[in-house]
Amino acid sequence: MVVAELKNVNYKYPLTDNYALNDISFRFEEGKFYGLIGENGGGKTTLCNLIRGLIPHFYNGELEGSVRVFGTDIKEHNVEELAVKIGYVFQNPFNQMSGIKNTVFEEVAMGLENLGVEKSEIIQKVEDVLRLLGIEDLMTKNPNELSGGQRQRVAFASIIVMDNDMLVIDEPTSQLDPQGTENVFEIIRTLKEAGKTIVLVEHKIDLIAEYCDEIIVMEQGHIICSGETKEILSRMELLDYDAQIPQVAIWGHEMAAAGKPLSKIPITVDQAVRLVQEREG
Amino acid sequence: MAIELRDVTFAYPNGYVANENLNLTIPDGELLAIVGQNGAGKTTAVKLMNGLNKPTKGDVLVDGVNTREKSCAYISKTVGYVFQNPDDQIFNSTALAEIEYMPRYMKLSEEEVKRRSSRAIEMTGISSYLKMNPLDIPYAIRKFVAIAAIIATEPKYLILDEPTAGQDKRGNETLESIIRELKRDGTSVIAITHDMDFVAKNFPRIVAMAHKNIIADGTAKEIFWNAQIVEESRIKKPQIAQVAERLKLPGNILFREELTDALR
Amino acid sequence: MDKSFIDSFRDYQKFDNWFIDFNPLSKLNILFALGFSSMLVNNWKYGFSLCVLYCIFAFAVNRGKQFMKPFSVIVLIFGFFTLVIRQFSVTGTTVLINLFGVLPITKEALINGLNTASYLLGFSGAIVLFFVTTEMRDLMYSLEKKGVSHEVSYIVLASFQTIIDLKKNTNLIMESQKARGIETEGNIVNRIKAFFPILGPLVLGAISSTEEKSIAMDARAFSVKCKHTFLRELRPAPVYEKAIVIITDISFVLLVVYKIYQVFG
Repeated sequence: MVVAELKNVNYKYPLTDNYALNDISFRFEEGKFYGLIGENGGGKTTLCNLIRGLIPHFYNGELEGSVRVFGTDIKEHNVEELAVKIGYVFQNPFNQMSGIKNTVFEEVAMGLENLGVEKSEIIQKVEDVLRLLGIEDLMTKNPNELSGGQRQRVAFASIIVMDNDMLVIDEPTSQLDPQGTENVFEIIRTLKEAGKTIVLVEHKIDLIAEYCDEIIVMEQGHIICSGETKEILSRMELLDYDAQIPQVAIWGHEMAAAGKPLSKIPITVDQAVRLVQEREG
Repeated sequence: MAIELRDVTFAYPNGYVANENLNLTIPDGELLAIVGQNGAGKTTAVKLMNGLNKPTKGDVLVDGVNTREKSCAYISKTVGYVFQNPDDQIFNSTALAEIEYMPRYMKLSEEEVKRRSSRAIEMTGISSYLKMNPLDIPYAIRKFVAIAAIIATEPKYLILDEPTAGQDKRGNETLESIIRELKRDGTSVIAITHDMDFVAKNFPRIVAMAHKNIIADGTAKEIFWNAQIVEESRIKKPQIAQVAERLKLPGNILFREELTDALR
Repeated sequence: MDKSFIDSFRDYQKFDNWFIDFNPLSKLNILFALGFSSMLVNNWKYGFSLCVLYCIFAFAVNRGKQFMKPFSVIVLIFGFFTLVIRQFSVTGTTVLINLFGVLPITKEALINGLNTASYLLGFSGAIVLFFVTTEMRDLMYSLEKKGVSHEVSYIVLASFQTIIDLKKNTNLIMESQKARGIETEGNIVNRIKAFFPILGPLVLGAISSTEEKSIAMDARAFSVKCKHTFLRELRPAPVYEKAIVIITDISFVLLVVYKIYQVFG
């Protein structure tokens, strides 16, 4: 099933001359995990804002073409409700805490309170999501006194608890250390296993390679290419578009150039190890 | 000439000890990366180097001057420091004004102000953003505006806190060229970063920190191929080194060419 | 999983004693009635008895320390200044003593001062007592139940965290400006020069974080229009609590009627 479909979309922010999105056509399918990569300013966040309805409901500007989310034209959606259906986690962990709740448990429950869910159900759902993400130990802590990495996990819990149909995640780890990054990707893995549709913007290409089903590469408002992760991330041309590919993929090409080709271009450490072992017999 | 930390302990006024018995000498002109997980004491350690933090015990000497005796603003003429978040620094209404602010504040001649700012602008590649309001400039580019503003003060030592966070491929390449050019001009660069590929490629010397202290000081090969250091400082080894380790290849491989050469 | 912590949400919130358990609006009602009564009576004997009562009561409900700290400051400042000012503004004839042999302390001015001080203290004591026995979030909860919008409630509650965040940010920005070479300490010229480099990023940062925060809160159904539920609930007021409130209010109304009668009758 298609959750979001864009056809020949052009978009300009107010008071700007250049198209932030330029002739975009794409179908996001249910249950798939999309990695959105490419240069800064290439249109990644704008695309996220469009799917979530912030464009055109909050940001005016010129929007052309057709955008349908969950089968309904984006202009017809109730933007408040769409904001909940499509969960959103972003870069800054500090700005994602409400600042009005004394414990993580209450923080995570807030979205459900706003939706008028019965109390016993709230308690059950919050318990479940804390367990799912493995952050039960944070439950009684004050969300405003946590580290960035811990806050980011609480931010995920606070969104996931509302059982969204789709998640848009914009650079969730750029302010975290490797440990915090790993914890966040553990959560993303859990979500993927739960069959959620996910759109992830991220610069850490080795993690993108490991987790995503499909990759979308953007540059100057265009989608340069898209397709299966292993196919896209093994393309050297991506480097010309200022998009990153994994070090092991570049190395795979260099092996071929040195006359020692592997049977495929690896995109993860695991694959690289396996391909070398296979080659050596 | 060097930045010297001699047996330095730093505790916050509330008594929390952030660094204990640090010993470190950074000669001028050196490129140094500081790695380790958040909370290991990296940021407090670099704040000791420019006098933002004064040691609770021990001494910090910047080119022989004890940081206890001078204000941070004074030491900053020698040790520049770019914070992680550019928005804590930028306040002028255009990028150019931001970059020229410090040279003017230092009452340099107009000619010198122009020379310094154009050098900084060229190095950071932001010439097409100069007339823009910093708020309208994308975050990743704003980081370069902040860096340019400090480069324009021409410090002998430049500290960069998480410069790679949020940068794309082009941003990383710009950073690499900034570091190269500063090194060529004799400026020392000290960077805190979590990007280990960036570290391995650009920094001949690495200091690994864990639980308030320096646990290792050496070359990329020495650090990344010491399992105990990697484990303790919770850093993530570069991919190529991971492949080499899994294949049990000898020679402490870090780079792609080495890995290619090591295989038949 | 901390079972007892989770279960604490299933029932109404429990507090450490009977008065804290009162509905915030009941507390507000009772204490305001007392506070206003001291204004109406305007007699130092009544006002100061009320203050003593507050103190005893604060200790009785385990909030003695929290109450005494701000209240003693108020007593010292308001009490003292009112007495001194009244000595100058009220001309009396009955001189009690001559301070330093030249400053006469008159009985009329003293009593006038005591009366004024006592009603100020009787009123402010009630307010202090309310805030040391009521958490802000509980007050906002009760108000929301009475129909105050959750936006208002959010703004009030978030402002406390915002102040903490602003303070943290100010420190960070100050460090950042010092680190680039701007003197923020020392003489007044330095401080004035450092004003914009600190204020600018602070204001801009607050604006951009407010924008991000509102997006984050919208993702958590903040703007969805529907009836909210509350994870943390306060008990509905029991009969005896309501009775106390009603008795207080009736007494207060009687006092008002009596005062009106005194003035016009």
